[in-house]
Amino acid sequence: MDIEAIDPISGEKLKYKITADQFSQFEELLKERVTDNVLNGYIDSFNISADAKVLLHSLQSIVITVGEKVVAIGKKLLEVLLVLTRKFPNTAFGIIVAVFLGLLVSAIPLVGVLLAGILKPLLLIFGIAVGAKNDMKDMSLKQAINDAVEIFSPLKGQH
Amino acid sequence: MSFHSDMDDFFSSTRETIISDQLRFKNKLGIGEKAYKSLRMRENLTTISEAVGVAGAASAAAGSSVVATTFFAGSSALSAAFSAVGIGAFAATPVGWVVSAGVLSGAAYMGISRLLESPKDTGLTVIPKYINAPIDLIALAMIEMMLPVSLKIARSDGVIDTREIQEIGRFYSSEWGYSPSFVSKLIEVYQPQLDSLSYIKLAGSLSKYCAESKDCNPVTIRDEFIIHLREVIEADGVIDPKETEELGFFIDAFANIENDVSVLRSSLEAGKDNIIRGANKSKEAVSSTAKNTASAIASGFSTSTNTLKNMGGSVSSGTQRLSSLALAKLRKSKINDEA
Repeated sequence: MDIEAIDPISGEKLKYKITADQFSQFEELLKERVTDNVLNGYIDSFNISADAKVLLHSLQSIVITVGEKVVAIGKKLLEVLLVLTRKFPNTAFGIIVAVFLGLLVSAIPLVGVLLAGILKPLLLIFGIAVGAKNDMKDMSLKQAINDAVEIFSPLKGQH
Repeated sequence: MSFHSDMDDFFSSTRETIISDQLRFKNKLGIGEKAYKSLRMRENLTTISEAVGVAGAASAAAGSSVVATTFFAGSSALSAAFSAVGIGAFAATPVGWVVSAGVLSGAAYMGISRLLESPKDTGLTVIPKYINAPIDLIALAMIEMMLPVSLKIARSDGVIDTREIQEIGRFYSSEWGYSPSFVSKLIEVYQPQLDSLSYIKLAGSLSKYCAESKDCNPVTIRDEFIIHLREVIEADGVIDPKETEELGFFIDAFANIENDVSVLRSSLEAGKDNIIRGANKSKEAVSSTAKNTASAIASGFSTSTNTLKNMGGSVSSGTQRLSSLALAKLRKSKINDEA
């Protein structure tokens, strides 16, 4: 089974191969829980700068195709970030973004490519390095982020 | 509990919000593209090129990142000039200091119009997609300071007419984008408490909050709010002298915030001086380069001279506004004396 995506920087079509077993785990990634408007409402409620909100909003446009299905990866990333911020209200939003996206990028190369244009400015705005995950002491947050990254594991494909 | 079920729980609950139309709310704040810090510089350069009508090459140069960093961030001469106007280099363009890189080389610069910053002049209303504060937080703060004033003005003739309530509901729901049910609930909550609320304190809080918020244009908000209060007075078809008196008192309370007046005065004075200096420098620069680039400079300078005149007009109208504020202050003292 092929995963197809467009490299946001070069505009080239990217192709990754996944196994049939991985495809069967796509249920969560295909589940659409909220509309774009509702997601925007959540972004509006964050206590972060307007610039950071615009960058988060731009995540929504990231999609991939798997066979004939379109998977809104960017929306799923935002959904996960929302749940993590609700679960850990005392952790700065910037830390959650940095650790989650940092870990995701290192675990799943395809996501790294798709986030290439957004991740760096986002981290710059929050003033946080990707290495922030190494400083994380909260084990329950660490575990929750690992669980969240696992949702995207079906995307671990081969070129 | 797995992360999947956490997600199901999170999104299954209905999210209540006090704003039902976020775009209307952001529009009412009047902040436009200034909501963005990082994007502001690039946005303004683009607008400048279009509005000034500089020759094509100059527009391209002014829009380039090289010019942006060279002139708006790196030039100490310009930074000093901008500081003299009372603003930092990154925020320089909103008051109309424009670098016309293609026409005037080196550190020469021209003072150009403030038409760039006003949506009225450009015929465009810019609404930021996002603002800096959490939207529910700022929405709650704004309505808590404005709604009691609307109700107090409506009740100043002794009774709140249903048409006045409808007008108040319409203003906050249809114009500001608040949820109608939230507005109705809040009207019920505030009505019994109106006697304990003071115009001066509410005006002070609103003025201070808008001035300190990164997401508010205090002048736009104040002006539109006063128009709304006039509409409330007119809503029941009778304009009671007590209503106009209380509205006048509230407007005076706004004007009497001395800090506001003094800041306005000093920025006007600084603006005036710099317009004169900018005009002189522009003339010198244009005359020295006019021989070589006659047509381009002529058109650019002509535009800037006209717009400088407009700026002069704006300063003049600002000075008139100061006079009217002073008159308003006198009027308030008179009201106090009479009281």
